[in-house]
Amino acid sequence: MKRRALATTLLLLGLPAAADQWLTKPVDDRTFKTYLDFFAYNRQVPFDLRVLDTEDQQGVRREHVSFLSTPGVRVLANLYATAGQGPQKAAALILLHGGGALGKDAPTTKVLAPLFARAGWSVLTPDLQYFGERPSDLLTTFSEQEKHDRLYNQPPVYLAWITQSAKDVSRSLDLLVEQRGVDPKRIGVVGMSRGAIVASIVAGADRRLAAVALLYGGHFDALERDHLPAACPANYVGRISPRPLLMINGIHDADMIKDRAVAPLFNVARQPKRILWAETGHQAPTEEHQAALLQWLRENLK
Amino acid sequence: MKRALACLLLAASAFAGQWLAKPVDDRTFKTYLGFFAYDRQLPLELKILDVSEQDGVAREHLSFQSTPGVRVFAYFYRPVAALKRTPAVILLHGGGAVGKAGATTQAFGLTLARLGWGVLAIDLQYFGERSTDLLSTYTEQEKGDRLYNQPSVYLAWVGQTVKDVGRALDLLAAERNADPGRIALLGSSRGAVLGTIAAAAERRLAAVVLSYGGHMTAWEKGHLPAACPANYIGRISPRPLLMLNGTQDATFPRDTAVLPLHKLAKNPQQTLWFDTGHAAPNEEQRASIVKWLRESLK
Repeated sequence: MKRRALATTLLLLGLPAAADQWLTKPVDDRTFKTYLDFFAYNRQVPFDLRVLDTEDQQGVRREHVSFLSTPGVRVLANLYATAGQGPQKAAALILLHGGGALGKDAPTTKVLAPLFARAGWSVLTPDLQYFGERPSDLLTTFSEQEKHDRLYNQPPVYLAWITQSAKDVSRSLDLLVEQRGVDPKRIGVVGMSRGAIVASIVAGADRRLAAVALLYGGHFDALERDHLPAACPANYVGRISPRPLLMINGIHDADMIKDRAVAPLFNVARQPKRILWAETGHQAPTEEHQAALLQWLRENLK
Repeated sequence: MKRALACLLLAASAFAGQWLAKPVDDRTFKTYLGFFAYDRQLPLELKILDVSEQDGVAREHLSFQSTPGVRVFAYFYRPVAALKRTPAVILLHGGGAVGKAGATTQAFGLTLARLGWGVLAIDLQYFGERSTDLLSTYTEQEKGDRLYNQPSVYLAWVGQTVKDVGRALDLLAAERNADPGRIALLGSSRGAVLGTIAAAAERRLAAVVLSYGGHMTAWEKGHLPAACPANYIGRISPRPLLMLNGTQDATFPRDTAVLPLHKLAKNPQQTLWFDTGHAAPNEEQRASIVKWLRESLK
């Protein structure tokens, strides 16, 4: 009976069997504006920034920090910067991790963040809610099955997660500007896998993000069935323009399938946009594409 | 950056009344419902903290999981002798620090349970046993500065409350032998403001009582449209609605906060005016509510 009731609720909410209608026709501006109301957050909440520890490695300083995002919700994050940064206002990147249990401390993030830092950006890598140092009872094994059963395929829980993530990223941006002297016009967002899905939504919602790179993301992964329209990348990615968008994807990716999940999403994106295809499955960007990404970021976050 | 925030507040305050004139359309309302949806498969993890008995009424002090990681504390009142499925009422308290433990809420809990109802009085987020750093003194000034007049924080609070009410309804039906077709909502003061929204969003609620509520208090500056009772009150119909208000209420002034909202309510509805200020319903008023609930939840 519970399942039937849930199914009825979803039916009432107009959730289709396959959540791809917005790939064909994204929601209009009026509906989009309503979404933005739910992503709004209070900038007056004190950050209560805490530096938990600091580590220097090969010229890059990593500060392990936490800050208050919304009332009672604390974000754990790493903040990377080259040790000898000058007094000029730097550019920065917010890097969103994929769906691994380790969150921001996953290998890909730990490789990309110092790479970006050495290239001159400050890099903030927040843990997304339920991941890394923000664990909860919701996810414990972090198996694909569990993540899909409890989060990605639970439309209301997923939308609440997306909403919190949007606020967390906007607060990350504020933190970089207000606490680390970053130029507010030169902050980009880079997302990896699940973090790329989140980034496509956040970038559509927070217009201050100046450049957007989505690594191995897409409309949804192969195990996802549905999401509410407010959590659908298709309703956001077209709104990133006129800010530049770069997508890097693998043609053999079995999670974010080229023809189903990636190409249709790229298709709803607007200019300036670019996509790089790698001869890979679902993985971290190749060295060649890391170099291309750095080059693209240099050109677009001058 | 502060300017952007000021703009947001300005927009909210300049237009707080616009939805009284013209509530949002069904398409926008449906978008709100998407944000208020919750996962019914999430375990309730009901915990009974203690049980007491008084004058034939048992009161369970309990907590349950509403949304992932968010626990609601509540009192469940029921007649000691109840064996059959009962009708039930969800109580939403006003803006006092003690939340569900406030005198008005306790009086309603005992009165209704004595008459054979199951009654679940939940703490709203930030109140009672769900106290946080956000509110500490619970002065009107603090509540206004940090919650009621912070449109984004307020909307998140409203959204959590709607979910909490949906889960309270699930709990009553699944765990406390309530007849799912006969569960009503009764909100007092701030709980009435939130109750207006929850009642429109949660269509399983069979009857709605708004006691000393309104569109917003005299010292509220504005809110986002998704948190505006004007966009919800007309959507409670065809379920019956009872509103009680005081003609001298300075918190929810009759002409600016109450009448314009009542005007949007649709039938079946009933309004009872009393010659009082912002008050707790007295025994006589409680009796009117009980009589109305009995008739509405037959």
